[in-house]
Parts: sequence; structure tokens; C-alpha cells
Amino acid sequence: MRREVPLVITFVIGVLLIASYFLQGPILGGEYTWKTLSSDITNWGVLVSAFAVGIAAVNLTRIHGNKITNQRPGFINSIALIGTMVIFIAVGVFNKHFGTAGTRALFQNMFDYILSPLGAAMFAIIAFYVASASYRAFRARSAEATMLLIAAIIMMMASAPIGALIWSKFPVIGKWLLDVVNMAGQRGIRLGVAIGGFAASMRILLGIDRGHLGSE
Amino acid sequence: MNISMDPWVWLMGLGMLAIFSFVYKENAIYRLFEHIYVGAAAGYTIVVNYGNIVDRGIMPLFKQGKYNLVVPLIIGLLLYARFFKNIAWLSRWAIAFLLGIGVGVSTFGEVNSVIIAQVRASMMTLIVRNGAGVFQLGRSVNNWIMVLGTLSVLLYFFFSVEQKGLVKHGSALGRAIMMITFGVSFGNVVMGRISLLLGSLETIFGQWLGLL
Amino acid sequence: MNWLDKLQQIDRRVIYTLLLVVLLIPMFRPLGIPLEVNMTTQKVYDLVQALDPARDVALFVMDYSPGGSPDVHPQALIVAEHLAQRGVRTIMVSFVDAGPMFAEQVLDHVSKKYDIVYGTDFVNLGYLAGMETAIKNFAEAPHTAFERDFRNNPVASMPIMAGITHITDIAFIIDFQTGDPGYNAFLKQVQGPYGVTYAAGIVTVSVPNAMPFVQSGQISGLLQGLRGAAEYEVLVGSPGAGAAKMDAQSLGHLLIIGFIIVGNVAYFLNKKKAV
Repeated sequence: MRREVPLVITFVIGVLLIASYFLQGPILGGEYTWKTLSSDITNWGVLVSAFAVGIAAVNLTRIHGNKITNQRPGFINSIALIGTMVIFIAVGVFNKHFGTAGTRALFQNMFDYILSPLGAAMFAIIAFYVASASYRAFRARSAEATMLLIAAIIMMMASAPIGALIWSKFPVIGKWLLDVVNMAGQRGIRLGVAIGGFAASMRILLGIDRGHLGSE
Repeated sequence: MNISMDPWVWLMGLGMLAIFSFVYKENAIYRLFEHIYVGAAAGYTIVVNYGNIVDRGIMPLFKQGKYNLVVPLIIGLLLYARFFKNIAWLSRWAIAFLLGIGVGVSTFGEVNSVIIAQVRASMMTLIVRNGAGVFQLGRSVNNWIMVLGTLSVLLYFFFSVEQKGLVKHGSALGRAIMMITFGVSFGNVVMGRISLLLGSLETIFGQWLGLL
Repeated sequence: MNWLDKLQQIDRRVIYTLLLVVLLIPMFRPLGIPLEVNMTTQKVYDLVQALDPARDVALFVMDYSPGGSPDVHPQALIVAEHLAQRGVRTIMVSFVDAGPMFAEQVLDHVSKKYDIVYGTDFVNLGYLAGMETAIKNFAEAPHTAFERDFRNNPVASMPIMAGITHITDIAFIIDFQTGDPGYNAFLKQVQGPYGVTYAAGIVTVSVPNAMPFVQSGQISGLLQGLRGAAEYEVLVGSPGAGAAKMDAQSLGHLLIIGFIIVGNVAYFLNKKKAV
């Protein structure tokens, strides 16, 4: 029962949705159409997905809450994490229900000056590691590695405006690599992923793959 | 020089500097702002998703009497059953529901818009002529590369036959095509990462310090 | 330790400092390197130019997160400017949670330059959870997907939503994205089933992956990262966040290529010596 019901739910929902791409008109002659069915199920999906986000927050709160209660090393950081999370939630929810121009501006500022720039900086520092890796790890050790390296250098020269000034053919060769050779490689890989994904979907739909249900 | 006097901009600038300090060495200030970032991201995500639950679930249920919305609201709550040992198994129902939707929504599209559309796009003319009927060598060669390249990459991942003879050569071509593909990707990674760094540098030196 | 060893084991902080200096110099003193416009950028521009302001509505999808925003946000700013300049009704929607806030930034930027009326010319509908599922749901009934917009105004009474009951009522979709959901989901749920013209603004890293869909014509136009934004700024004639950084981008690439060459030369000379 505990394992069978989820398998049935996945199968029924999945098959109904797939069918809705092919079928039109009323279901069993009633007023309810395939289009409405698809719309209702996806609407439910939107709602359940919104709930799913909270799980991560509960986990974060549990882990950092424990750290704070037991005053483990770094608990000050945990206080900062929980504190920031609570402030964002409080301002956001207040803004949602009793929002004024002031609260809207406050929430926007919290996003513009805290969340967004910190997120951007987190990703920006990767540029330094790419530079370091280019110097230390990017070696023409074999014929294949050399092909990769030459393609990368041409691409870099082609995509930076200065490349055309150094040699007018850089953009032409770069475009050819991107539009022809890369296109062929990416298409082969993407088709492989699509076929694999389709097979995996069928395995889940038919209950052959049950990894997501965990152990008994 | 026109340094910003806005406290929000200062908070942003100092926060970004703290994150950048990680490049020199992992340190306490970095860790603090890293945690602030995670807290902010989690809090923000909860707020916008809460908005979806209120607008699309609770309001229509109570104000417009759309009682069928009780079902997804209950399924959504079931996700949290995992935190209670004796009813933890109920959260599988919600996961199964989400998986069913995921599979149902993506399967048709994956076949229609990826497999069929991409295979169709690969069926290209191998002897290209222009409007006046003159043979176009460059475009013909490109089409050959695109068709053979795609096939050879697929062949490289085809493990059901022994890789020998023609299959071996085809798969070697596929490997070469993929190496160039990865080279192109690396070139784009470099460009992309520098773009992201430039964005942050512009914020720090322009918006905050007013030097640009 | 000989000089070749030293060269190979140079402190990483020297590399970081060099990169920082090389990127900052052209930001302070621009070099003015000319920029050629890519065909895929030109196509996006042409598609926007071809819209009829009296009849057509554009869907402006804000699917990017803070991490990749420096690569994509400048694209959104300049395309929104172009749409406002042409007077095309533009509906903004997001399937990534950060999207509505970036949409507000875009609206703020555009309203400073053009006289746009919120609810008539532009609207920020907000965010819909569920990624690909949400895109399908929105495509089937855009007018009922949101009862209230991101600013909490009722959507049904807005002039901009008049006549929009299905995604096929949209003439053009431009989707700014940093990952999932992105062009894959839109091609599967919208462009494929309904044939709506779809263009994308993507992060530079994703450009090679998108090329099969550009070749097949499923993606009608493509803005390729920050450079795509800079090119679009050239086309619109409004240099902004993208163009200003292109010189630094050039020098950054030269430095990285220099790193690769020096690293390899040191490696091979050292290897030869060892033999």
C-alpha cells in the first residue's frame, strides 16, 4: 500500500497529461474537457511546487537552529542566516498583505542591495579560478587536448571584439566552429540526452524505476 | 570621484568585498556574508512561493469557492510529512504527484521539440546549389560536417555494438567533434565568467565608489 | 628550483591580481574597440522592429537569477528600451523566483527614458512556481494564470491584457534566462506545440548548447551574453551597460590566452629538460 499508491499516482497523472497533448474535446461526453484537465493538473502542480520550496527552509532552520542552541563553532553565522531569512520573510509577507509604496521599496532594496549583488559576487569569483586553471591545468598533453585548446583559443579571440583587429579571420573561423562543428557535437549530445530522458521517464511512469520512493 | 552616500549601496559594497575576500583567503567575514546570502536567498524564495500559494490556492478556494484546490493544498502539506516519523511515508504521495506531472509535461515536448525537430533539422541537403543552380562547395561541406558530426557523436555513445571497423572510425570522429565542441564551450566559459566579474567590478567601482 | 619550475608554480594571487588589473584599466580608460554585430542579435532586433505596435503584444520572460544577471540583465534593459521606443505592449512574466524583482529594475530603467503607462504598455505579472509545468499552465491561459500582478493590482481589468487568452495571442516571446527553466522548456511547451516566434537572451556559457536549436530555426533570434547586449545597444543606438565592458572583455581574453600559452611553454620546456 505504502509503495503501490505512489506508483499509481505517478502513472495516472503522467498518462492523463501525456494524453491531453493528443486528445481534445469533452472527457466521457461530459462538460469537462481534456484542456481543462491539463490546465487543472498543471495548476495543482504549480501549487505543490510552491510548497516544495519550504522543505529547504525547514532543513536550514533545523540545522542552523541546532547549531545556535548548542552554541557550536560558527553559531554567530547561523544567527545571521536565520536572522536574515526571518527579516526577508517578515518584510515580504507584510508587503504581500498590507503593502504600501514604502514596504514595496524596502523589499526591492533588500533584493537589489543584499541578495542580488551577493549572489552576483559569488559567481563572479569563479573568473579568478578560470584564470588560474587556464595557467596551471590547461595543457596540450595529447592530440585531443590540443584540439580542445586550439578551439578554445580561437573561440576566445572570435568572441572578444579585439580578435577581429588582430586577425580579421578570427570571427569567421570562430563562427564556423560554433555554428557548424559545435552545433553537430551539441546536437548529438542533446539527442542522446533526449533519448535517455525519454527512457528514464518511461521507467518512472511504469514503476520500474522506484529510487525516488526511498527504502521501506 | 563621486562616492555613494546611500547606506544601502555601502551595505552592498561591503558585502561584495567580503565575498571577494575569499579569493585571497577563506575568512570569518566571508563566512558571515555567505550565511547572510543563504538566509536572504531562502527567505526571498519562501516569500515569493508563499505568494503563489495565497494567490492561486487559498484566495480562490475561500473567495471564489474553487473547492477542488483543497487537493493540491493537502498534497503540498503532505510534503512536510517527512519531518514526522510515523507519517513520513505520506510525503511519497506528494513526490509521486510531482513526478507524474514532471514526466507527463516533459515527455511529449522532449519527443516533439527535441527528438523529432532536431532529427528533422539534421536532414539537410548534402549537395547545395544556389538559386542559379551553381554548386556551393562551402555550404555543402558544412552540411556534410553537421550530418556526419551528429551521427558520429551518437555513434560514440552507442554501446550496444563492439567498437571496431567502421564503427570505431565513426566513433573516433565523434570524439574529435566533441573535443572541438568542449573547446568552444571552454572559450564561452571564459567569456561568461569574465562578464560576471565585470558586472561586479562595475557595481563596486562605479555604483559604490563612483570611480567609473 | 629553476626559473621554469618557478614559472609553473607562480602564486595564484599573482594571477588573480593580473586579471583584476587588466580588467580594470579599460574600465577607467575605454579603448573604443569597434564591435561587429552577430547575425543572431540582428535577428532579435529585426523581430522587434517587425512588431506592429497597434496589434502585437510581446511576452518578456524574466527567467534569470542573481548569479548570472550581469550577463543577461543588460540584454533585458536594452530590449525593453527598444520595445518601449517602438510602443509595443509588453507583458513581463517570470518562472524563476528572482525574475519579478529584476523586472521592476527593468521597468524603473525604461520609465526614466520613455513615457510608459503601467498596465497599458507594460505589466509585471510576477512569478509562477513549477518551472516547465508553470510555463505550460501559463501558455494555456495567460489571462487567468495571475489574478493579481506583482504590484498587487487586479490583472483582468488591465488594458494590456485585452484579447490575451492563449499564448498564440502573443506575437513574440523574448526569454532572458540563466538556466532552467529556459529555452528547453519554452521550445517544448510553447514554440513546439503552438509555433509562437521565440527568441532568447542567454548567458554566454549556454551559447554552444543552444546552437542546435538556432540552426533548426526553433530559436528565431539569440542574444549571446554580455556581448549580445552590447551588440543590441549598438543596433538601438543607446550605448549602455554592455558596450562599456567590451574593451575589458577583450583584454581579459588576451590575458587568459597569454596564461594558457605561458603555462604550456613552461610545461613543455621543463618536460624537455627532464628528458
